[in-house]
Amino acid sequence: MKRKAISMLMAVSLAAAALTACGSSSSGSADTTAATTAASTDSTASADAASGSGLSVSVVDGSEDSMNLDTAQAGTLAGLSACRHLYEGLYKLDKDGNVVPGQAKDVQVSDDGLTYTFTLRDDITWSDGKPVTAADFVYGFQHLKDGMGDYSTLLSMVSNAEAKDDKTLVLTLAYPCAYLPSVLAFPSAYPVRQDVVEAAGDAYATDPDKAVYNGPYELTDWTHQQSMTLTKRSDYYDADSITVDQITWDLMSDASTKANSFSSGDVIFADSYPDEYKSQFTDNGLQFEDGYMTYCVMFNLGDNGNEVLKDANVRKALSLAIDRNRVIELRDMDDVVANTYTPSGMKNSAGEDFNTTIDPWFSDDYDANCEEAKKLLADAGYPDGQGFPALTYLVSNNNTQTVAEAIVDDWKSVLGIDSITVQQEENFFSAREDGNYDLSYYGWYMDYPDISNILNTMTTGQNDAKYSSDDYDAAFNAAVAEPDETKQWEDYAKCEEILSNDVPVAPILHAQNSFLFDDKDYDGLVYYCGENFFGYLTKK
Amino acid sequence: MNMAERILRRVLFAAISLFVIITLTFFLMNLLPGDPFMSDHATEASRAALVHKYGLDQPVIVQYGKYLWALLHGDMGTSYILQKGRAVSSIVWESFLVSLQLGLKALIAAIVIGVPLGCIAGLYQEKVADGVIRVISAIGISVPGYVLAAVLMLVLAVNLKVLPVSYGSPGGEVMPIIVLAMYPTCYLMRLTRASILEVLGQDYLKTERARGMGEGRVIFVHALKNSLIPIITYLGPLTASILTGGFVAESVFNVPGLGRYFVSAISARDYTLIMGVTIFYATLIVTMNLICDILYQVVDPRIKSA
Amino acid sequence: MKNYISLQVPVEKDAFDRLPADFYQDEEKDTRAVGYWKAAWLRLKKNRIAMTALVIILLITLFAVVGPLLSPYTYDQQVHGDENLFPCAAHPFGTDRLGRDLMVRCMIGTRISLLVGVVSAFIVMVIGSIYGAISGLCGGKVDLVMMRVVDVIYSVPEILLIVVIKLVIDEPLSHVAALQKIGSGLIAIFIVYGCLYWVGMARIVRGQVMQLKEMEYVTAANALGAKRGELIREHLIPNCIGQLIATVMMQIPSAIFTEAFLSFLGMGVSAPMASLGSLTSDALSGLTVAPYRMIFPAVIISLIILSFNLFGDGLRDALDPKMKKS
Repeated sequence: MKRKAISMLMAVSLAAAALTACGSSSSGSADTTAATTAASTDSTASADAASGSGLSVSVVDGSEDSMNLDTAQAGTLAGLSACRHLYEGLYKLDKDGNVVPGQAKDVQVSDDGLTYTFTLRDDITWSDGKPVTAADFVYGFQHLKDGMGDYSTLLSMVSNAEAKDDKTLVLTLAYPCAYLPSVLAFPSAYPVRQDVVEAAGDAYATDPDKAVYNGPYELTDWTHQQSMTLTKRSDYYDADSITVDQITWDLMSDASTKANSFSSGDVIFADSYPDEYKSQFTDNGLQFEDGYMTYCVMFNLGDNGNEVLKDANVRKALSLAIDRNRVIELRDMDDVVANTYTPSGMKNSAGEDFNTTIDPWFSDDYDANCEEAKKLLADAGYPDGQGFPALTYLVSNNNTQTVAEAIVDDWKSVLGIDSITVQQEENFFSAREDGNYDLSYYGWYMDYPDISNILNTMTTGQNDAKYSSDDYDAAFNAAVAEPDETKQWEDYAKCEEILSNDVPVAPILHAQNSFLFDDKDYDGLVYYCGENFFGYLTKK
Repeated sequence: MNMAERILRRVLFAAISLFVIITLTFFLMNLLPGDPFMSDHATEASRAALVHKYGLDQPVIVQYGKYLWALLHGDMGTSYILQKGRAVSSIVWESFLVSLQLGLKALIAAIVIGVPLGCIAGLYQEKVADGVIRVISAIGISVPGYVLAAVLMLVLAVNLKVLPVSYGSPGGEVMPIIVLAMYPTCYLMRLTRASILEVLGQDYLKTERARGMGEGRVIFVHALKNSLIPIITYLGPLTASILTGGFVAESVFNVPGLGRYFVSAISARDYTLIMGVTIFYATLIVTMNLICDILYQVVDPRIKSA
Repeated sequence: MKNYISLQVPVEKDAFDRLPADFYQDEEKDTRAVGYWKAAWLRLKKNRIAMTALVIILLITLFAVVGPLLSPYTYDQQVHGDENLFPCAAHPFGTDRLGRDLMVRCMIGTRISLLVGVVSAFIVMVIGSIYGAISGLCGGKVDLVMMRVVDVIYSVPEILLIVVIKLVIDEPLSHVAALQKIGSGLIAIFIVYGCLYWVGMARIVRGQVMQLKEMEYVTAANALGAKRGELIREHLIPNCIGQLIATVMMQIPSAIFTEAFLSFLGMGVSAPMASLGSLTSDALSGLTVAPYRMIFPAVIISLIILSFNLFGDGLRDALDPKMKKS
C-alpha cells in the first residue's frame, strides 16, 4: 500500500459524494471530512478495549438525508461512517485506523498482481443468522454497479468477481492496483444479500428491518429525522474488541444545534459546528485532523453557466484577484493558501511532496496578481468590471457564505465587478449538481491519499463545473496507467499545468478537517478519510 | 336552509377546494426547472431509465391522472430523494404524528394560558394586571420564533443545562412547545381581551345589569360565552398552523416533524414528497376551517352561511 | 324668585352675547360636526400608546432612510482590519466577521424589511379591497363563486408557495441585475402576497360592504338613482376605510415576519444585501460568541412589529369608533 498510485479510476463525483455530507451537516469548515492516511486520532486505544465494558455513547454525525444505508447508494461521509459500523467488507479498519483483513481471513495475490483469491472467515454471519458467503460479495459488487450511486464505478479495476465456493472469492483485476485493500475496505465494496434487497425493493435499508447487517453493529431503531440506535451484535466474530455496546446516533441538520448538543454534553461527538464557535471549543473538544482538502470557487462551464465564464482569461482574472490570505484569516482554521489543485502531502517513495515538484498556479505577490487580473479582465472586454454580467455565487451555509462574501468583495474592490450576488441554498449539493449556478463553493475531500483521487475529479463528466478537456483526460489516463512513478508524476504535473491554464476552479486554500470530540473523557476514536468509527471508544 | 343542509354544502365546497389545491400543486410542481435525476453522475441512459421508472416521461396530463387515481387509494408514491425508497404516505404520517402530539400540547398550553389571561386583562381593564399582560403579549407576538428558540436553547440547554438540546432526549419536548405556543398564546390573550371588552360594552349586558343580575353572572353567563366566537374562528387556522408550521421549532430542536419535511422536500426537489406534504397540509387546513365553520354555526346560529 | 309654573323660559342676561373667541378652539367643547378624518385624528391623538408607536415608527423610518446617508460606511463595505469588533465609537453596533459595520447594515436591513412590509401591505390592500367590494356589491351567484375562490386560496399553504415560486422565478430573474440584487426570495414574497394574502382583506371588505349595503342611507342613495361607481366612491369606501387601514397596518408586521422566516431558511435577500431577518439569522450561529450581532437587529425587528401592531390597534379604534369599548 505504500506505492503511490497506479490506476484507480476512482469513482466519479466523489466530490459531490464526499461533500454531500457536509451539505447536510451544513457547516463548511467543519465539514468533517478529509483523508488521513491511516492516522487515527488516538492510537492509544486502551488496553481494556477487550474487556467489553458495555459502554453506551451518543454521537451526532450527519443528518437524515445523509443517511443512505444502502452501501451501493451511500455517498456522504456520515452515511459511509454508519455503514462501516453496520456492514463489513473483505477488509476493515482496526482500532488504529489501519486497513486490515475483515471478513476475509486469507488472501493470495498472483505474481502479476492481477488475481486476488480471498478465503472468507468461517465465523461470519448476517444479523439474521445466515452465514456470509462469497456470493454475497459478488452480488454486492453487481448491486453497486446497478445502483448508479456516487461510487458506482469504484470497483472499475475489478474486471471479474467470481464465487468459487461459499468461502472462496476470486477477483480478477484489469490492471494492478496496489491499494486494492483500501478500496475493498470502503463501504461501497461490501457484501449485500440478494434475497433481502429483492424482498424490500425500493425500501431496502430505509428502516432497521429492511436490511441485514454483517458488521459489528446492527441497526435496532431509526426514528427518521432524529436518531438511529446501533446495537452491538453479540455474534459478531470480533465482538470482544468492540468496546461500545450501543451507539445513539443523532441526526441533525443544523450546525448550531450540533454544537449546542456537544456543549451541553448530550453527545460526545459532533461532525460539524458553526465557525464562530471555534474559540469556544478550543482545548474543549475541538479537533483538527490533517485534511487533504481543497477549497475552491467553481465556475460553471456548462450550458447553464453564464457565457462570460467560458473565457479562461476571465476565470483567471477572477482567481488572481482573490485575497487568499484574508480568507484564511477570516476562517481562522489553520488553512494554507492553495496555489495548486492537489493538496500537499502526496509523497512519492523518496518522500518528496508532489506540490514541490510542480509550478504553482500563481505567485505569492498579491498586488502583482491583482495587476495581472485587471489586465486580463480589460483584455477580455470588461475594463474596470464595466458591463460585467450579473452572476450568482451559490453557497451551502453561513461558513461558505462568509468566505464567498469576502471573495466577492475582492472582485468588487480590485476588478470593479459589482454584479455578483451570493445565494445560500438549503439543498446546495443537488442545486449545484443541477448546474443552476454561475459560481459555486466547491470543496474536495480526498477519499484516500493518492493523487489520482483528486485529479480524477477534473476529468470529463466527473465534475459539477462541467469542465471537459480532451488534453486533460488524455494526460490523466496516461498517468494512472503509468507503472513508473517518476513518469507518472510527470504526467500528473502535466494535468496540473493544464488545469492552471484552464482554471475550471479557483483553488483558495487547503483546509484542515475539524470536528468536536470529547477527548477529555474518551479515547479510541478511529478516524479515516473523513469517516469515523466509534466502536473502539473507551472511557478514560 | 336547515343546519344539516348548510353543513353538507360546506363539506361539498371543502372537497372542491381540496381538488383545486391538488391540481394547482401538481401543475406548479411541473413548472419547477429540472427533474430530480439531473445529477451529473447518472449517465443519460440511466437517467432516462429512472425518469421512465417513475413515469416522468409521460404527458403531464397522464401523470396527473395516474397520481389522482393512486391518491384515491391512499398511495402518494415513494420519495425519490430525501428518503429514497420510503413511501411518502408513511413519511408524512409518521412525521405528522410527531407534529401532532407536539402541536396539541402547544395548543392546549396556548388556550389554557392565553384565554384566561386575556379574560383577566379584559375584566380588569387599565389595571396593573391588564398592563402586565398586555406588555407580555405585545412582546410575545413581536419576537421572531427563531430568535426565541435560539435564546431559549442558549440559556436553558447550553448554560443552565436544565433541558436537553435535542428533542429525542427526556424533557426535550419542553423548549419546542414553548416556542410553538408563544405566538398563539400571546395572540389569544389579545384576542380574548378585545373580545371581552367588546361584549362588555354591549347593550344587552347593560340591560342584564340593570335587571339586577350579579356582575359575576353577567361575566360568566353572557360575556364569556359570547366572546368565545371570534376565538373559535381563530382556533381553526391556529390549529392547522401549529400542527404543520412548526418549522422553526422543529429545525432548531431537531424535531422529526412535518414542518421540517415541508421545506427540505422542496429544496431537494423531491416531487412526490412535496405533493404529499402539500396535499396533507391543505387537507388539514380545509378540515380545520370546516370544523370551525360548523362549530361557529352551532355557537352562533345567527350567522348565515353565504 | 322664579315662577316654576310659568312656561316662559328665563333668559339670562348674556344669552345673546357673542361667544368668546376661543370657544370653538377647544376641541372638547366643539359642538359642530367635525370631519371623519379630523375626528379620527383627535381620537388617535388621545391614545398615548398609539402615538408612542407612531413616533417609534417614524424614528425607525428615519433611521432606515436617512441613516445610511450619514454613515461613513456602506452596507457591503468590508473594512479590512475591523473584523469581529464589539460595539465601539467607530462602529456603534459592532462589526461582523467580514468587517462590515453593523449599524449601517441594520439601517439598510430596516429599509428592506419596511419595504417588504409596506409593499406587501399595499398589494394586499389593493387586490383585497377591490375583490371584496365587487363580491360584496354584486352579491348572489357572483359573490358565491368569488368567495369559494377565496376559500380555496385560503387553504393553500403559503410558505410552500413562496418557496416554489422562488424556485420558478430564480432562472428568469437571473437575467435582470437590479432584481437579482434584491433576491428572488423577496420578489416571491411580493407575488405570493399578491396572490394569497389578500383573501383576509377581501373577506373583511366584503363583510363591511354587505353590512353597509343594508344601511338605510345606501338604500336611499340607491333609490335616488346613484350609480354603482358613485355608490362605491361616495358611500362604501369612506365607510370601510377605517377597518381597511387598520387591517393593512396589521399586514405589515406579518409580511416582515414572513421575510424573517424566509431568511432563516436562507431564502431571503441575496447577500450582501441585508434585511433584519437575514441579519438576525446570520447572527444565530455566533450567538454565544457575539450576542451583540443578534441583539440590535432583533430589537429593531421586534420594535417595528410591536409598533405597527399597537399603532394598528389605535388606528382601528380611532377610525372605527363603533368598535370602541364603552
